[in-house]
Amino acid sequence: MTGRISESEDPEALLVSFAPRVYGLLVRLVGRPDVAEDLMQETMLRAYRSFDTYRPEGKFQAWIFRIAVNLARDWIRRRRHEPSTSLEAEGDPLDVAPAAHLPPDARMDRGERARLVEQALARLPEADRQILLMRYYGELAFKDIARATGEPLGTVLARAHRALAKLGNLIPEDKS
Amino acid sequence: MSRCPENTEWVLYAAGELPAGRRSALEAHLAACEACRREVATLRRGLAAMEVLDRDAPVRPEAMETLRRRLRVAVAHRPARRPTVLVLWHYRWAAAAAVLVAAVVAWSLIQGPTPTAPPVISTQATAPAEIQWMPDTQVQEEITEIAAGVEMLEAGENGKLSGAKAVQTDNGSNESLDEMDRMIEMLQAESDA
Repeated sequence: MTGRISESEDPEALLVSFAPRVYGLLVRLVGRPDVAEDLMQETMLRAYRSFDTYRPEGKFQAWIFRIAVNLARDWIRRRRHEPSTSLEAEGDPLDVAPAAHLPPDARMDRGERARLVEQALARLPEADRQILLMRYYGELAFKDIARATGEPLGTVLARAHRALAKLGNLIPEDKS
Repeated sequence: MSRCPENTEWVLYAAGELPAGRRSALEAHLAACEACRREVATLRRGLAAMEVLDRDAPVRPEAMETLRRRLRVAVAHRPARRPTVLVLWHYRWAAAAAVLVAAVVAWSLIQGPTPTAPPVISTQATAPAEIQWMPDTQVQEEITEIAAGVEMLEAGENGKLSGAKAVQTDNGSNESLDEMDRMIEMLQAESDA
């Protein structure tokens, strides 16, 4: 997947090719596959409509992931303000994973480790999780994340440090 | 390096986002600092943990089809992008006016300030391209004819005018003299009285 796109590339095909990765980010941000699908489609449509505003000198991933993250943030914010479906009443959909008793088994298979990481990610504060997800799914450098989120680089790095430290402490060291 | 670097800098180090020079400096510190080595190992473990996640999450085929359909609709309803030439054409009059003003300003700057002079009426525009001169004999005849006409006019007009003036003057003079005589007689009578 290229970081930059040229004018000759077909925007429609390009956006469709990005769909699985954007969906992967969104489903981990909002914690609900149905909502993530809707947000993924909305991300692509918004990206298509504002394709003219995309500047080729910027990273395409950073641009499209910023749209996705903003949509996810809006959805989470709206959900918090809805009394009937407040996060306080239901619990944060991103915080439902079991937190304790992570098995310190270094011989876990990839599926088990993935599940463990998903759970650990779900326990992170939303803003910290966003940083890690944007870096991983968008393959963005921290300075690009800072630009995409509009936060100072120092803030982004502080969040990243906190999140990585938690993740690193929760995940057992692989000695195999 | 005596002091430990900031934690945020270790994040950049672990992620491989530091410039080479700074990276070497941190590595020198790591060689001597057990606490920072542990710190970096934890951060690397956190970064490595993410790698087990599939970057591309499988999207339901129905959702992908919906996306393609919605994008096709968006493409169909998208206004055609106007070429830059057409966009500029929209502002052609403003551009022409701007060029004209710029040209006038530039011309006046080149010429410098000009003193205000009375307008000169050029006769060149109305003058014939080539003047056709009369022959001398014809000029003489024309002068004689005009002079004769003038004499006739003067004679006639003077006659009318002098006659009218004489009547008017004579009448006016007689009336004035009579009026003066009457006034003298009245003054003499008063003085006698």
